[in-house]
Amino acid sequence: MKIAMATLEESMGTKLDQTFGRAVYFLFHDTENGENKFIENPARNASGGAGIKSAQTLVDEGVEALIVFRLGSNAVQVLEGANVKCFRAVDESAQVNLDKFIAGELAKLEDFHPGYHHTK
Amino acid sequence: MNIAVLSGKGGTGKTFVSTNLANIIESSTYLDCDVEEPNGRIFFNNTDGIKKEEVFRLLPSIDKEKCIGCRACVDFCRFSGLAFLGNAPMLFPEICHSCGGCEKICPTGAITEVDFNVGIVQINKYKDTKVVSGLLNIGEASSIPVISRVLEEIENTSVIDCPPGSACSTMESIKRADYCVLVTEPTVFGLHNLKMIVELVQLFKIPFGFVLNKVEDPKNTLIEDYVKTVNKDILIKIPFSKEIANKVASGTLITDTNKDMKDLFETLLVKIQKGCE
Repeated sequence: MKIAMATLEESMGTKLDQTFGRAVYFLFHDTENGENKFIENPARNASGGAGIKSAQTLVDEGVEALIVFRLGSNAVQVLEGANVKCFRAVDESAQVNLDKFIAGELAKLEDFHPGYHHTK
Repeated sequence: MNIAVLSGKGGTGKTFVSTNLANIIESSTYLDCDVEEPNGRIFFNNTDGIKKEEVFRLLPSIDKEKCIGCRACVDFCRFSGLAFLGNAPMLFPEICHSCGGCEKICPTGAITEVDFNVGIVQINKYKDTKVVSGLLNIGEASSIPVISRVLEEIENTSVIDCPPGSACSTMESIKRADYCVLVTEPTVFGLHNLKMIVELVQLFKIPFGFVLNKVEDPKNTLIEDYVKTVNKDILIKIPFSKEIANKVASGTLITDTNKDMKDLFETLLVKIQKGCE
């Protein structure tokens, strides 16, 4: 199973990024082999639709769970469409978040902000 | 001649200046491009013979039968208006910029562009002035299609009431302007945003001049001092007066009843005409 996090730096000691769409890095952790992979978020400087593009990156990577502070409604639509489960991050390192997730201690993220675009 | 009235800061008197200016010009057209909150039509109080027309923008419509899931459209869209889920594109209408690129790039013709209603344009007459207002639907992200439709009604001498700020909607509104009237007030905030639109109109290389509204204290030379630095004069100064405030609050035009104010706006028009030469 692949787990994703939005991070500020490329290390397991990093804090998580408060934003999703314009996060600096994404961390992908593979529970099968314990591998951690960091990539620069290609949507970081997008002129618009950053949440959608970031969510697409996760979907293309085959992510099944996302640990994050907050999500906009457009990103949620993409993630839900691909059955990615979202969990509320705690203000600790990526490693602590991962450990807590595996221990089943993270709550599901169920409230979303309406995003920065008007929605109908 | 097309005269655009803009201000940067909201509430300096764009609509006051543009409605009264259009009112004193013979057979003019007044165009309200502040389509998120068009209120100019209130002052041209005549609902007889009102004409309304819907405004549309284009959105892609995806034929699931024809789509082969090649992802070309999703990868093409630089705005991320399309996501790729379960082997098919998913559209985000409010992100889409209506560029039509996805339709062109689709190898199987699965995408066609369809009309999507974003607002209305309404036209009526007040005396000899043609009054045009754009009204953007609530919640719609982009005002450009409505502004662009409003500007199609340009006729004779036109006065364009622009939205506040200096963003895309303002740029769209001054696209066809021959002259820009920059309305400001003697406040720090007024000056700050005025500088932003001076930069904008200079970039567009459109001749411009200043109207200083709500003038109260002669010792306050904040705007005059700035105007000198760009080698300009103030075209007219409008006093801060209870009579004007009352007229505006009652939704009527001061140039209909006050001779001095009518003369002041005539002076403004002459100076604009000179500035265009």
